[in-house]
Amino acid sequence: MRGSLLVLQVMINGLLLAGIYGVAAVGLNLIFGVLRVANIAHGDFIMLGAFIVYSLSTLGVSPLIGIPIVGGVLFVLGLLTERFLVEKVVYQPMAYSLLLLYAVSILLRNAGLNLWTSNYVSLNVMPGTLHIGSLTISEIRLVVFIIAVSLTVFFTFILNKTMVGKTIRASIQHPDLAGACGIDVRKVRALTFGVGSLLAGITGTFFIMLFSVNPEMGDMMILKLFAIVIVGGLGNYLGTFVGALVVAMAETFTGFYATTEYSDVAVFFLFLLSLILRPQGLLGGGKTT
Amino acid sequence: MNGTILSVENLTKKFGGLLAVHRCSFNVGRGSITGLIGPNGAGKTTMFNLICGNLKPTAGEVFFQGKRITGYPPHRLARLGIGRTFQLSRIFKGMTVWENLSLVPSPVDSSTSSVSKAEDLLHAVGLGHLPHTYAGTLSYGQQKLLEFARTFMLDPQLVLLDEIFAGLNPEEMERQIQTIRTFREQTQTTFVVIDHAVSAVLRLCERVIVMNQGEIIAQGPSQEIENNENVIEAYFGSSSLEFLMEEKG
Amino acid sequence: MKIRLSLLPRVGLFSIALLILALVPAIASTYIVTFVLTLFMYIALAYSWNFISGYTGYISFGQIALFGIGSYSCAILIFKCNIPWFLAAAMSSLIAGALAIPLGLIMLRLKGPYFAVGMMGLFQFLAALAAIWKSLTNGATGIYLPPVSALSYIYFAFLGLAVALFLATWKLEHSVFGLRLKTVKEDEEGAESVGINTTFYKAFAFVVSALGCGFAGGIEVFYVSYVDPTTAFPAVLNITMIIMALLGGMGTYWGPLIGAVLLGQVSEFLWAHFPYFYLIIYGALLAFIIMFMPSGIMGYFHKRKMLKGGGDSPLPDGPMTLKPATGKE
Repeated sequence: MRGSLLVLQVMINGLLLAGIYGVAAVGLNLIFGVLRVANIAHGDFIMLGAFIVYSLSTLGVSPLIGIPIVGGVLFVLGLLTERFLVEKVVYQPMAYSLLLLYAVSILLRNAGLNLWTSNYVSLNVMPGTLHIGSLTISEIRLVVFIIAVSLTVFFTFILNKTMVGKTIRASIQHPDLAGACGIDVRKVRALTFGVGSLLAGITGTFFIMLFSVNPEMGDMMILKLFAIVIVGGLGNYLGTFVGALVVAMAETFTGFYATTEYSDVAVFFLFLLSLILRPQGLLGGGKTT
Repeated sequence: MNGTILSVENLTKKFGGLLAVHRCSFNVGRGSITGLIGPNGAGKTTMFNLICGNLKPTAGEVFFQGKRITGYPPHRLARLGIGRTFQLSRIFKGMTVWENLSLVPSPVDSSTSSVSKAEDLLHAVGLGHLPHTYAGTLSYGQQKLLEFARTFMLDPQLVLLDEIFAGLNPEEMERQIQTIRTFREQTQTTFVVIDHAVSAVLRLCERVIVMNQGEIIAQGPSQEIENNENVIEAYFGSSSLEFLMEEKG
Repeated sequence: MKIRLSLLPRVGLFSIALLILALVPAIASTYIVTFVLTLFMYIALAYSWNFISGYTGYISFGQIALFGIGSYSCAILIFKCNIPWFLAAAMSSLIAGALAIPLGLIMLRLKGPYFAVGMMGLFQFLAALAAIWKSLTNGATGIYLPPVSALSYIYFAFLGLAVALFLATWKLEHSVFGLRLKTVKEDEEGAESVGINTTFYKAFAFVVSALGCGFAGGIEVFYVSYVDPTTAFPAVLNITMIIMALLGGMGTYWGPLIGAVLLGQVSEFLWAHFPYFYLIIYGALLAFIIMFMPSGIMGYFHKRKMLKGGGDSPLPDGPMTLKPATGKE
């Protein structure tokens, strides 16, 4: 394959990956926007999604049914986590929620290791590949990409453009006002966390269908997600797309030209670089604590 | 006036598309008490933030005692002699009254030891009997006084007071005015005061600067500002300033 | 302002406690000596974490990065430069401290979650880097060191480190320097406005934390006579030092000691009986502490003191002058 075509191939893979990251990043942004909480456990919710659909498939349940089930389970899990854990510290300084979600992350990761061991697993769902000229796109990647982008656009639209979404977002930042307007802020918070977790869970199902994963994937995921959110700006939804693109491209390119070890280091380095260069996000409009 | 202590030239601050402060210029005379007033969102606190280094200006310069201080970090300006209080008093609530004062670094050239200075200041604001009380348990008015006293631990030549009258009743306001006047007489400190209580500001200050939507729309002696048409319009449209003053009594 | 006389009995008690601890290697079994020296390491790490995160409020999820830098530095100094182990450990502590200056200045510009996750990213980055930089670190194979000749050396090394960090924290709590450091946690912008250079204080705390973690890493590597990316940057220790500091009380000077001793006992028990579960229990424990006792054990006592000392007095009458009132107050 010619050089430029090779680059194009890698870029396409990067784009497809970016779509998946976008879903999780939207979930993270959502939780931050409404609750003002940085969900450190987001990566581990992704992991849960991956492994639940995996376990279901070993029981003979097709991923077609498995994915919606994961969505439901993670939604409920997110809701309960917010209602019984995060809610207690929403009005406290940020350090509290940081440490609490860190604890949840540890819990989930080690529960995962206990349930599923540290072995890498994957789900081989759609082994077919499409050929466009000399380019190859695996079918499953394309399908996942389409679903991912649809989900992202759908949720971003609801939040940014509809009156309902805007009102909720605006009023959550002033809970007293919201209460006066008849909005139950506690319910909104719990539901938001639920939706964010749902998005994370579904991202996980995508991951396990495309790559090999293990219960410790949360670590890397949260760093990548933070890198995305930093590049794009926390709270900035358009920036999330850009951020996802940057991170996914970096990962695919280094992964292609070097071994995974180097690609990991490169991603970490990019993450640290993004922190140094632009803690508020490259596109501005991001909200810091 | 014995010279200009603070000089602001064409100071501008942009937040993305929002022009919070636009080409503002003014001078503050040494030993004066100057007011900075304007409707909500006029850019007054932003102005303070720009002068004190909490924000970096997009354009323009700030001069303190003839020296260019634009963009200097806040702690350096504090050490150079610019003190500042905030709208919501930023005393350290987890520390005692005494600790709040004693942790302030001594100014570069100070003649009095900081222990006696702290004692004097506490007595001066009426908190002398509460040195070991935790600042977080003080009443709102007492916290403001503590913040005021703490600022003077720096031996400042210039003090910027943000919303000094907020939350005080008329009696407390009057006492606050007296305190500032007394400090000025005894230490020749220059004051710049932001507040929404326009009548109190006009009573306290010799000169007033008026801002609206990021620009200075008027500046001059308080008497003149009282009746300035632009100012009245900025605040109320067609109603009169005096109406407001009567209400406040 | 505080009365110095009360210091003497405290110093006496402290010396007696140290004396007792010093006798342990001579009279106790290897198991106990091992247990206690591990406890000292925990104490050292808990104090190191507390120094930066407890006092400045900058929560770090990756102080273990400095531990790893210390581990590798020490291993390389011993293995490639034939430096005697204690000197190597001391040097690696200084290396960690020196690196902490630029690292700290960069990382401490970040707020809240960015700093926390940033430190997490840093330690993962360093672990991955150690794996690929084979010429320096031998990669995943690791570096083997000569075994320890006497356990008591390690024991006293950790004891010394724990005591040093305890005293440093004590000194911090009883000095104006410490008060100024605490203002970073209270209100960074407010602190700046009264002339406190918060960047300096944050960096200072970060460097001290690095010195502590680095030294611990160095001693530890000599103790186990081996280093590789996983043992240099152990995720478990990372979590443990955080929980210990929080359990005892973040930002207090007894806190890390209490937390480390308590959790040290518990972890010994858990490790014996629930080897796969105990990290789950740690996670649950941390969550519990944050939700129900965020100030830790010491914090509870401090809060009671604060509330008792309060007093709501009305504003005094009369105009204010700078001259002290005559005897009425």
